[in-house]
Amino acid sequence: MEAASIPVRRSSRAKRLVQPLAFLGTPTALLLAFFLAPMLVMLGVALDRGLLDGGTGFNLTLTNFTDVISDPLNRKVALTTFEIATAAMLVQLIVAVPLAYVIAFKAGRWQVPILLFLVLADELNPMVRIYAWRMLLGREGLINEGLMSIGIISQPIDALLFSQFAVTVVLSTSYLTYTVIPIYGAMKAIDGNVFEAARDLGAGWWTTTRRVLLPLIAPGIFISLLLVYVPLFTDFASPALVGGTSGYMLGNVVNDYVLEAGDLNRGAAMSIIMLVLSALFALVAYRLARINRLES
Amino acid sequence: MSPARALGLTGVLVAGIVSLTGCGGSTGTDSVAPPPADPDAAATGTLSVFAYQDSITDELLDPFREANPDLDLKTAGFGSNDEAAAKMAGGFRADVVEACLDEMSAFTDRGLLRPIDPAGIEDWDDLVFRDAEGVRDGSEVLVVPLSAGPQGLIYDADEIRPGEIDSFADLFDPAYAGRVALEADYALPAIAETALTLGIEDPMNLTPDQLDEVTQKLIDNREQFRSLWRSDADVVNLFRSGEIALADGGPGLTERIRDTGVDARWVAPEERPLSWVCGFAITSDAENTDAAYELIDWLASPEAQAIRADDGYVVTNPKAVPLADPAARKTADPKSIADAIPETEPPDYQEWVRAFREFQAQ
Repeated sequence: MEAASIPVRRSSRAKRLVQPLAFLGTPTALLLAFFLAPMLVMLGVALDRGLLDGGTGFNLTLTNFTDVISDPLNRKVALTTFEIATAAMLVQLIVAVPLAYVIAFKAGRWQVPILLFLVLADELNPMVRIYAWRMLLGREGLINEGLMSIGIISQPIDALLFSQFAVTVVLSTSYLTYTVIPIYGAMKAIDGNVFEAARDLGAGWWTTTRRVLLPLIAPGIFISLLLVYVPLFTDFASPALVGGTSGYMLGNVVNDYVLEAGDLNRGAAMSIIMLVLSALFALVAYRLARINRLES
Repeated sequence: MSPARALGLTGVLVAGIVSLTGCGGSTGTDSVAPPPADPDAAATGTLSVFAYQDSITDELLDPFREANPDLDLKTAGFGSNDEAAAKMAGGFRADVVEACLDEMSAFTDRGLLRPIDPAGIEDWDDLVFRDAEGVRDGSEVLVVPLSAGPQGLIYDADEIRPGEIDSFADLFDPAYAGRVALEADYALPAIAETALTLGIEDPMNLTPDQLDEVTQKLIDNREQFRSLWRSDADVVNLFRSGEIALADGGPGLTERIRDTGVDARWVAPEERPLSWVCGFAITSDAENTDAAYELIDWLASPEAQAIRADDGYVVTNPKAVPLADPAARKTADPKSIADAIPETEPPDYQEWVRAFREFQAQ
């Protein structure tokens, strides 16, 4: 009897193991095909010597990576990009946290309309949004004209447009929706009584924000950083259109490698390096935000 | 669904998608494309054209569509030849592509073009620039020159008095600081123009020292430039919004700026303007070479060239000049750029690109 029951149990165990794998297989295959396969193709291009360097067929080399990393120009642009992206991210967090707080705890029945408005604002074509900013910040834009009409300035402020300031402003608003919504989600999970408890214990608004609110919304901030901070490094349309001669960023470098120099190999190498740095950043952010709170 | 069937479906999906991902390489040929046996027969099938937007306007293509009602003409636009070549190398398929003589290597290095038999182009012997550098690779014709233009200076006459601007050096004049834009969609114009302001006589063949000198001048004068323009629409907007009063560009672009109400004027600089020539080529992956020849033949005809003339371009077929609008004839005449400095691809163009990046990264 015992000998006969063993194959049945084995068959049942195998079925239990294979069945979920089989049903997960289709989405996994799609993920592999549409995400991993292009990444592997890009890695292959980055590891190829390339036509520009006289290569024919596939010639394995790390030269593209070493060239990109050792180029002092790229390091300089990376620093500028870091400064602009970090400034834009900070501005967004400074705007997003109070905005998410108002939506989550104060907006009442306006909660959904405000969220809908944020989503709709994000649907606006990015080029239209950038050109709208040019109309606002330009020499003859609404801000300069307004300030001149009330006598605060006598000459237009040129630095409002075609400057790093303009790039920071445009980037800050371009991704605001993706910054607000995860933080809002984290706030909705907070029991409002904790704020009352903090007040009862004598905490002011700043202490409550610092010791209660921010730690509890840390996972939301982490998600925002992942969704927004990383893409900020690769943006090239905003610096190209409002940066003038001072908004050259890493996204523009990749763009120039591929579309101007025709150097797909170094462009791919640069993109892979940025991807790896993004992954490292995500790991650091994970540790800092202690996202395991979500699990608990 | 049984696990076995789900696994099987997964396998089919992976195989299918991976095989699709693997597509895209050029499977083309480098033999001369044969002209149509009957050049008068209407073209049929599908023809894909990849070009600058202003070369595939309805005004220019509608007469061709009407003459070939059974042909499905598909068009797609690009912003630069490097972009076009990168997309084609990545698998984008077209039968005909627009190529400029100063950027031919973007296509030829990747084997993207198929030689053309000039006998298939009725007006070939009338075309000027047919012997220009870049048209041929050895003895084989790769591109039929179809449009040209000078690169000089555009200024807003409401802000700058006519006669004040007469040199590329004016782009660097402190009197216009913060009111100047420089072309930046590719590195060549800005570097060549700056070289001319430094008294360098052959701006297409800079020595490394000269290139360094040009780069340094651009960097030293960075504050001079309000912006860098990357498309026609971009520079039109810069003038219209009052951001700039002076830029580099051509007469066709000046016309577009004037259309927006700005009193833009074009002037040929005393150093001599630069000049560009672009044309259409048949790709190595072309499937409908008969239709490709017929399209290029139409675009080289005096009638089509007259349409380009009215758009502010220099024609390559002089027979088109009398057919053009009288106001456009002077600009359209190929003689108007006879003294210009032809834009040719510098042998060390990668260094030029790097130099221009260095300027932008400051």
